[in-house]
Amino acid sequence: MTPYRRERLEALVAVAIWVAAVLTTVGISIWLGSARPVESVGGVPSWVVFGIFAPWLAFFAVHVWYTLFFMADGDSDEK
Amino acid sequence: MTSAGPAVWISFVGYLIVTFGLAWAARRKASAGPFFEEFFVGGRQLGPWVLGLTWIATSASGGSFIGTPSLAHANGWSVMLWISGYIVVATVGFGLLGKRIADVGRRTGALTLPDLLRDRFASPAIGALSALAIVVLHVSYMVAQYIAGARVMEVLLGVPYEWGIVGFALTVGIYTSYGGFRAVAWTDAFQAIVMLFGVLIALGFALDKVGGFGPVWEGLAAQSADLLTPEGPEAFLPWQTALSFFVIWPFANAGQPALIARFLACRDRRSLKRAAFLIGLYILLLYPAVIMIGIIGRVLVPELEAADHAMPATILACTPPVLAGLVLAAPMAAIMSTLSSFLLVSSSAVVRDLYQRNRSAPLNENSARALTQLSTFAIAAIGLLFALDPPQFLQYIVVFSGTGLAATFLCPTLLAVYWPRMNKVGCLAGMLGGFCSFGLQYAAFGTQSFGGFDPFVWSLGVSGIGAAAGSLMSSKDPAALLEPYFGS
Repeated sequence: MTPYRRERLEALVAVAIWVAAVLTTVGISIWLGSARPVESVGGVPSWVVFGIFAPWLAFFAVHVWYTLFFMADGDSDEK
Repeated sequence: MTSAGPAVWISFVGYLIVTFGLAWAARRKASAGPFFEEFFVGGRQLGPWVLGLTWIATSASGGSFIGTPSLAHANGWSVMLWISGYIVVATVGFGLLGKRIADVGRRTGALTLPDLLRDRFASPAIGALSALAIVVLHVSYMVAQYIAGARVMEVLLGVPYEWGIVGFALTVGIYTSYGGFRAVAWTDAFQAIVMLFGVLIALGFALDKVGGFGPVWEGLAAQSADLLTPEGPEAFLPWQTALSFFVIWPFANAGQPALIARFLACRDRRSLKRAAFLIGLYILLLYPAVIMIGIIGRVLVPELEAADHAMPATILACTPPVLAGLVLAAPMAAIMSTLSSFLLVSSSAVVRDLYQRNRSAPLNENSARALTQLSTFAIAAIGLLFALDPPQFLQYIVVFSGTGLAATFLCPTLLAVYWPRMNKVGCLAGMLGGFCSFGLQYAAFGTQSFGGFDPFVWSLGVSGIGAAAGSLMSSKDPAALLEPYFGS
């Protein structure tokens, strides 16, 4: 695969990760946050714990995979 | 609010000494290569640590350390949803554009974003137009940073506002013009470390002072139950705005010319990948902590003299004076690192893109150095004059320069490096479409445009459609022009 095609694939995967993050974070936060009264998990609103903190950790794991294992490296002139 | 006194002064002076020392060391380390490549992209020698830290220090401005905690102080936990787009800022920034731009830059020798666009479309007009937009919008953003920095110095050190602005302009102007990109990157790296440690130390002391998250919950609930909801008080964050900011943070960062300059400066792909990983980790540690300081501040210091005092007031309320000076260097570091990066990008736009590339005779090294240093100081001085007497429309330009720059450049840049069919007509249509669409929507509707979404969201669409339509309605570029970018 040429560097151009490889980088195009990596860009598409980055956009897919963004879509998954939007749906997870905004979706869970608004869904859990619409309940009244807001529930507490150790003094933090439940929608923050499950809608922001948990996805943030999960997508950081995805970020580690993406940057350290999925993105190709090597010389920029490879064909 | 009271000042932390001598401890703050000692920390601040120490911070300045380290900053100037790093600029001096960076100048001594300068490579013997061509002057412009050394001054504007550090000889393309940035390794993962410096690349990652300079990227995040440029991205995190005074707004991140002064404005964001103040928003959290006013609107409670909802600001955590407002900022949540930062979850994927590093993935999108480096995956979508970073690696591709770095590769294209190494192959074609591009030193700046206007350089890259000009060569890709063989169009001096596109180079000049984009350079002009960068200078105007970056200078106005610099003015806002001068003002924020001078306000912090006024409150904490008792330095008169005017002297604070002069001090900021001189400090940043001297080390940027002296050491160029390498000095800016090294000082950024130091400033990013100060920012992270400052914030984490402040959060630890704030949590200790308030007694943990339980009392924070009770304190917020006693003031207003809305401080615990995703919408916040007075519907601060409707779902459309939350969604808009999930578009703005990753994509506006990806399209910022000052951040694109960092990609052009990286040593190789391996450094870029590791820098991306480091930025993801840094963001995970920094941004939730910044917001939590603002939220805890709402309980510890419910009444503020001014809205922007949330961060310094909370730090002064909970941190021992000896450490307060160190912690309070964090917002100063954020402001300085953004200022120096924007100053350098503006200077490169003037000297490289508007002057050198449109000149028929070559520029010798001594003239190039003198002109670049003069231009850097001149731009710092122009920013200083505007900051001393800010024009009434400044705030509009500041908002525009934050997301408007990305609305103007993101789609044309993306399509320029990924779509062989893109040509100069498409590039101009995309830039003008994004610029005009954002400006008109902002003027007509403010920050809530059609359907309640931010103008940036629609502007990206207009810019992308304009770029695609303009390209398809005009002739293809010759294969020889495309070969360095897409291969044969």
